[in-house]
Amino acid sequence: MTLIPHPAEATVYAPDIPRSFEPSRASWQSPTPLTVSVLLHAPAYLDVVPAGARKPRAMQGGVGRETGEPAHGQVARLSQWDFGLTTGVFRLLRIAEQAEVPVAVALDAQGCAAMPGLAEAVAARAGEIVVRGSAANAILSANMSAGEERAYVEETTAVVSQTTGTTPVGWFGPERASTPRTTSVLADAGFRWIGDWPLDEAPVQLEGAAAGLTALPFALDTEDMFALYTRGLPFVEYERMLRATVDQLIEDAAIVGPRFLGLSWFGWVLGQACFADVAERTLAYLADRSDVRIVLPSTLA
Amino acid sequence: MIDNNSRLVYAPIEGRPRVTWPGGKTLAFWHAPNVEHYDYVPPSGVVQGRVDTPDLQHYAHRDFGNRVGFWRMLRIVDEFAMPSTVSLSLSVLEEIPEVRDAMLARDWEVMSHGISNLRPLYGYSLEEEDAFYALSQALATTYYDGRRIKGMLGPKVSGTDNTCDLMVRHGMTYHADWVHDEQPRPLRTDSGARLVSMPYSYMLNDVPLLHAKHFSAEEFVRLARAQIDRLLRDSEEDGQGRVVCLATHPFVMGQPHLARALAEIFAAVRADDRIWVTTAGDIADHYIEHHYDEQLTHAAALGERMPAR
Repeated sequence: MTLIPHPAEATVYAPDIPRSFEPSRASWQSPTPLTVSVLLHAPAYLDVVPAGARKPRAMQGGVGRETGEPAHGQVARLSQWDFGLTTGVFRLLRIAEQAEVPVAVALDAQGCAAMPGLAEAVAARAGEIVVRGSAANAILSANMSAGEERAYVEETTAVVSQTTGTTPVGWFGPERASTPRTTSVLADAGFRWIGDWPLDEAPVQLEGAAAGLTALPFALDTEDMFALYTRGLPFVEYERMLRATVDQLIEDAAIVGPRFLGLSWFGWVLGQACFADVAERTLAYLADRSDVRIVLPSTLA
Repeated sequence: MIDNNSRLVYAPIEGRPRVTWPGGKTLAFWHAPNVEHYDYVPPSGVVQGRVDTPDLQHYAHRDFGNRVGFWRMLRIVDEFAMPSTVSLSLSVLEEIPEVRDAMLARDWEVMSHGISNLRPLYGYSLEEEDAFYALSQALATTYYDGRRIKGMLGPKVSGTDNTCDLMVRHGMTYHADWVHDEQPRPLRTDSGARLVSMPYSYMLNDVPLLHAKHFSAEEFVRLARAQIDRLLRDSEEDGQGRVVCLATHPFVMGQPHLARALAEIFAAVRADDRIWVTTAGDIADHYIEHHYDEQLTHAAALGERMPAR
């Protein structure tokens, strides 16, 4: 018996996301107050998306503001995202190595298939390879049929796996796009974790058709693209926010149990020279703390 | 026709043959003041502004740049003897002689930024765009000491599928719309003629940063210094010469409250003798003469190692 007459066409809660709320659920068990995973994104942007592919309505990158697709002939966004592949992700990998921090890198099929040397160079340096779908702007959509979605996952995974020589167990959808079917498709394809959902501060075990898959919450507020582009924060404020997030999570862990922080950083954003020191100082701060462990995402799933 | 993704010659910066700059410098710095003209009433089809055209607030704010802001910036440019590669609405050459002559007197390099900044190249036919480049070079040779234009930042950062191919047909060697690297990179053209990307910036750029992202002058300076410092450190570490561009607009950076910020950035650049303070044309010339072929060969070798699919 409920009092609220929800509209029949509305879906009030995501059918594939377990509804568990603090403080009524059991604490996540972890050996340290804070567990951090770092996921570097190296997606490839398509100037012209193939016919039939689904595109985001708006994306970051370009001359100034988040916009829909730029007019054909403007290469600002294409080349800005491409910076992550030529330069940015390698700067971040080097920073992580110097801090002795393991990182995962998310690659898509376009980058792996069309960028000679990218998959090989990243696979040699990353602790873990994550599949990031087809391309930065060729996304999953609820308008796809089940067969289309399954083929999207299988084909992109095959390309990333073959070119990197790895067997990825993690998935991060371009633009964090997914459908109610995605988790079951990923579970069937052998994935163990998905990073799309910034919905918690602890890993979320999925059930039913997606049993065996863990949702690792890579936070949105601490994502560089969201903070520095969507919100337009100066990098000093972003660094302050990262530090405050870490400190608060550790403090809260004593009350509500161990916390997880997924750091989601883009080669084309934090890999820019003007921002890279933020990554360097943040990783150094994390690596220096005994109450923080930094692990690859796959170790948590 | 070469699509825009295929224009790019990919190779990770790590593992590339080294790019070096003259005199052992590690960072090439180029200042790109965008000296623009905005039509009072833009050509039909161009949507611009908050109100029906003419949008006086927009027009007058931009016109301030050429009336006043340019001259304030010029005093700071002179103070630091800063070579400049002007991203120029080429109508200025014919229509604003005061600005043209001041630039020529200081030996600024002209980089095309179209005829007017409200006349983007989108939708130009091959013939229309070809005529546009012919006109661009004619304006430069007629009004700018016979000098030909070496490069372009598309008007309002616009182009077509033919842009790179037509640029080289008209003798241009660099294209600044691409921000995909910290070094110039070869861009594929249909004729095989040499064209390189020139690292411009939509980050170290006063319009996106101060207008779209609402940064303060202090934050702009901090960002510029962070960019320069990091590039210098990374170049020392891996031996790869890099490029940094400071993009300015007289209607923004020429405002009184931002003059000090520009001077601070120029002072930081001039204070470090590892920096090659130069122009986009000189960077492109050096890269094409000393590095272009080797980088192309390296990228081709990477392609041959790709696993068959």
